[in-house]
Parts: sequence; structure tokens; C-alpha cells
Amino acid sequence: MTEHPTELLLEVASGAVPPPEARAHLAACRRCRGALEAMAPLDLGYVWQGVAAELDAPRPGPLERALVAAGVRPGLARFTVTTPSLRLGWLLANLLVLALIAVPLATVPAAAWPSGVLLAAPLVAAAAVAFAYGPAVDPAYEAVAVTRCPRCGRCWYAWPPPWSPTPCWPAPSTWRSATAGPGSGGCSP
Amino acid sequence: MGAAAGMEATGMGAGRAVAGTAADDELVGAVAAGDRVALELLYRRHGPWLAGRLAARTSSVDLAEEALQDTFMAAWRGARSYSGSGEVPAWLWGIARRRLASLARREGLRALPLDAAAEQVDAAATPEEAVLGQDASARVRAAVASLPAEQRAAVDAVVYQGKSIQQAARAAAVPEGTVKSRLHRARLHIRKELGP
Repeated sequence: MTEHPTELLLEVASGAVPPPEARAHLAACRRCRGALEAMAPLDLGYVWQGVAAELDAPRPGPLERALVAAGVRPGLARFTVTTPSLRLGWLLANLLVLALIAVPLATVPAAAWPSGVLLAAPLVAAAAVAFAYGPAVDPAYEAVAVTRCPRCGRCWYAWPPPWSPTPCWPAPSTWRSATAGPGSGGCSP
Repeated sequence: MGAAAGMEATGMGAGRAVAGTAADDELVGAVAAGDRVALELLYRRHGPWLAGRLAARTSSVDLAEEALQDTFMAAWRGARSYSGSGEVPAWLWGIARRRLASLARREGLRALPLDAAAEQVDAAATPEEAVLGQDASARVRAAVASLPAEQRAAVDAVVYQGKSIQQAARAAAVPEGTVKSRLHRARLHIRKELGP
């Protein structure tokens, strides 16, 4: 084990598979490991940083995982989970709209339903959504207006709509969470 | 190459459950149990030759680096499914070459043909490999001898004398980046000389 397999190191750096006895030597010999790392065609430290960053990446919480499992796109799930203030607003708006429809219908006997209520109900819902996030009432309006899709950085969730199974550009398989290391720029062309 | 520094920084010291001398199978078992130190040991042991092999199969360093990273992430997630039959290096290489092929497909590059027969990582060399193996070190020596003087000096310092890149740079009175690029060009030359 005193002989360093120098020629073999050069072969391995060029793409050869080290035979078992050479692997045993490499496991034991710091000098040869160092030489092989120096001759390696890739930046091994950089690659390991990428692995470590992926290992350290925060694991999605139960709610986010449930949303993803229910078919919500990962970017939207992260957005929903990490913006609790919007979550409350969304919940209240929906409850209000439902109440506006449900309360009149529950209090008035079916025979006496004015047809105008039925006509106006969809408009009420649309108005609630339209005004809840308008520039006059929403301090975060500008910030939201210029924020693009957290997944691809290009679209505004305009098309396809968030509930559509069609992915936005690029395909979800190429989307990766924010990690360092190779391939982290999954959204760049 | 900053490799050692980068790996050292992620906390190599606390080798609790596995030792550096553990067999590959034991390391994969520890990885399956969630031991990150074992994954790092596996990377130090098998990362360098996988890097050489991946880089020899694509002209894109980025692609090879991404494939290497994905290989060890797949090993981390899939260590449980490692059956224990077959060799760990063959298992890792099987992941790596598939990963490289699918990354190349994603990038729209033509993946190199996956010739299964040529991709075997056998413990025992075939007879012709044994014959070629005796010949190979002479061919490497010839390839090194045919390098330009500066590149040969860099290879000599790092591989034959076992110096670090910093030491080689100081001895040659050039920046470290220069030594790295000389090593890079030397490697390309050697690969071309050894190639079929």
C-alpha cells in the first residue's frame, strides 16, 4: 500500500472506473484523494454544497404538503401557506359572500323569492372580490401587482389559471426550490 | 479546487455512527437511517471518480455537476431501496448515468447512448481489460510525457508529488487559477490520448 497509483488517478479523472483495490487505497490514502480531487473535472466542493443545501432545504409543512397532494401547484401552495394575512382576508371575503347569498334565501320563503336577488347574487360576489384587492383598500396592491409567479418568475398566474392542471412555463419537474448549487436556476431558459 | 474547504465547512468532524473505514454497504445502511455524515463519506469516496466519468460523457460541466448532485440526493432518498446485492459503485453509477441522460434530454442535448454492456462497473475485470490495464499505465505515462512543459509540471506536482493546488501554485510562482487551468487542459489532453 506504499505505492501510490498515480497513473490510475489520471485515468480515473479522465473517466475510468477505479478497480476495488484502488478504491481501498483511495479510502485510506489522503494524499491520493487530494490529488484525485484536484484533478477532478468538476468542482466537487461546489457540488457538495448543492447537496448540503438540498438536505438543509426546509421541508414543507403538513398544510403545504396537503395542498400539494390535493393538486394545488407547489408555488401557489407555498404562497398560500406563507401569507397568513391573505389567508384570513380570503376566508372572511368568502364567508361574507356566502352570507349575502345564504341569509336572504334562508329568511324569505321560497315562493316569495324576488328574481332580482338571484340576478344580483353573482354580481355581489364579483364585487366583493373586485374591491377586496383593489388599489384603494389593499396596501399591498402594488407589491402584489408586480409580483410574478414564484415558480417561473414570468407569468402573473394569468394563464393558465391556478386551478388548472396545465403547468405554467416551465414544467413543474424542472422547478426546484431555492437551493444553491448546480441546477438551482431551474426557471432560467 | 476548494473541494476540501467546502466539504470541511459542512461539519465533517462529528463522525459518530460510521467511521471513514466503514465498508460501502455499511455506509449505505447508515445513509438509509438518515446519517448525513455517512452520505458525506460516500461522496468523498465515490464523488471524484463519478465526476471523472460523468464529465467524460458530456461536454457540459454544469450538466455533469447537476447530475452528480442529483445522484447523491437520489442515494440519500433511495438508500432504503438499495438491496445490498451488487456493488455500491455500480449502484451509484447506475443512478448517475440515468440522471445525466434525463438531464441531457431536458436540455435538448442528445444524450450519449447508454450502452449497457459498456457501462458495467464490474468488480472483476474482464480478461481483455486486464491486458489493457497493464498497458494503460504506460499509455498514461506517454500521455503525460507528451504534455506541454507547464502542464506536465502541474500534473507532476499535484499527482506525482502529492502537493495541494496551493503548494503547486507557490512552487511555480503562478496564481492558483493558473494551476487549475493547466490541470484542466492536461486532463483534456490525457483523455484524448487515452480515448478510443
